Amino acid sequence: MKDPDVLAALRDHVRADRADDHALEAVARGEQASSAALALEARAATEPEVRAMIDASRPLGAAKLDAIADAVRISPAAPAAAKPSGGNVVAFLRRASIVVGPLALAAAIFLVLGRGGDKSSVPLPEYTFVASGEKEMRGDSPPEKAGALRLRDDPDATFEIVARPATAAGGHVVAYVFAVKDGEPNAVEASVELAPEGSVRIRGRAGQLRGAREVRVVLGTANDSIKRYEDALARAREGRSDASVRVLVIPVAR
Amino acid sequence: MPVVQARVARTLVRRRGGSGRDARQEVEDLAQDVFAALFADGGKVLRAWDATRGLTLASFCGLVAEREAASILRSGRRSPWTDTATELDDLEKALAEVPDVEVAVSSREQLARLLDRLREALSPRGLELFHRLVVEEEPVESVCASTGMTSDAVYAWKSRIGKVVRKLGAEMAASEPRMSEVAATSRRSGEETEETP
Repeated sequence: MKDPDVLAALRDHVRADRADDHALEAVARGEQASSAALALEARAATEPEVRAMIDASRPLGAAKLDAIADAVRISPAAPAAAKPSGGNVVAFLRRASIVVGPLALAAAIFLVLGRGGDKSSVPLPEYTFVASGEKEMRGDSPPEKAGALRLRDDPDATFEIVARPATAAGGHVVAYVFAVKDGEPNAVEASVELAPEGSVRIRGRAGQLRGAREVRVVLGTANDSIKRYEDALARAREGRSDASVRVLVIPVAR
Repeated sequence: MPVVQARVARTLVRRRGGSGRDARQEVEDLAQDVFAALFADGGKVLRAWDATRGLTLASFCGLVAEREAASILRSGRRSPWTDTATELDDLEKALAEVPDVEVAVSSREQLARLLDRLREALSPRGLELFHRLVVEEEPVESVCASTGMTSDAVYAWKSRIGKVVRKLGAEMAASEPRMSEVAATSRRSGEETEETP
């Protein structure tokens, strides 16, 4: 096998290995009701390996996370005689023994990286949103449960999502809209209006969301946390928010 | 934590089928090893992550988790990372004698072993570039734009990764007699398939 062939074989091997990562991460976050996790659960009925991966990915629980954080704290792999920042980590982890595991680990990561949060990106405030299909907009039916987007079975029906920041956002906010079908986000052609303080109004047609279980809106700061479309796509795939990027996950109901 | 746990769980089950010793206990142990690796030596591996190079922190930790879990499951212990400061010199010396052979991998298991060894041979940066250039097939121009590396440097890494793969393939062929019968065949004299800077 020549170099390009073996590299292609490695590429395909890694991609096949990673096919279920997004869904497994959802399971590990405790989001068993997400579309990705549900799709994986359906396969588990006939695929024992998938069943085993789901079981192994279920959240470990605070006690076990505490044990991991504590073990890392005392691990010889994290010597106190390291550089000043390393010493700070160990000292921090000693002090953090009363903090629950995941918070201690996350905080220690930011401490190592020298970031109380991520100073390399402009932080975004929390966002709240209202999603409405044509039915609610016309008052034809009671609003769907909080947070869901109820769509009429008509591709020309319209929908609207309005997202508002808790406080005015610093920087130029950008928004990308994705429809998640079979666990994979696809860009939605929709009208996106942005207000100076960071509010976002999204309008589109139901046909763009055909077959989708969720809409994910990725909000970030232009040329900072979101530099290109691929950044937004990656975040939509992860479905994870942090201090500089907000991902709004909106279930679709029909 | 969810990214680390999911990668560890997947790596464990794919290699051991999730049977035998309690998989949950093994996931806990392996996740602990991953965090130990991230924080070792004052967080050297963790600090190799650079937000401006294109990978999210979660994705970077996921790469480390895959690498650590695979290494431990293969050899029973953590494998040290290539030292970033000297990696280029050492790697170039090691690759100078790479045999001019083709690598033959005919099964999923062989590919998995080759991949494990490749992950162990690369530095955090090399691993990141392997995933962007080879797995994601990201254009060199795009990698240059997000990393600030020159196209020559990126092409050099691409070539270097190919050489590492060939070197590891030759080592595996030599150490696995049955594989060697089908694995390494002499390359045609003068044939050159590698991209050069």
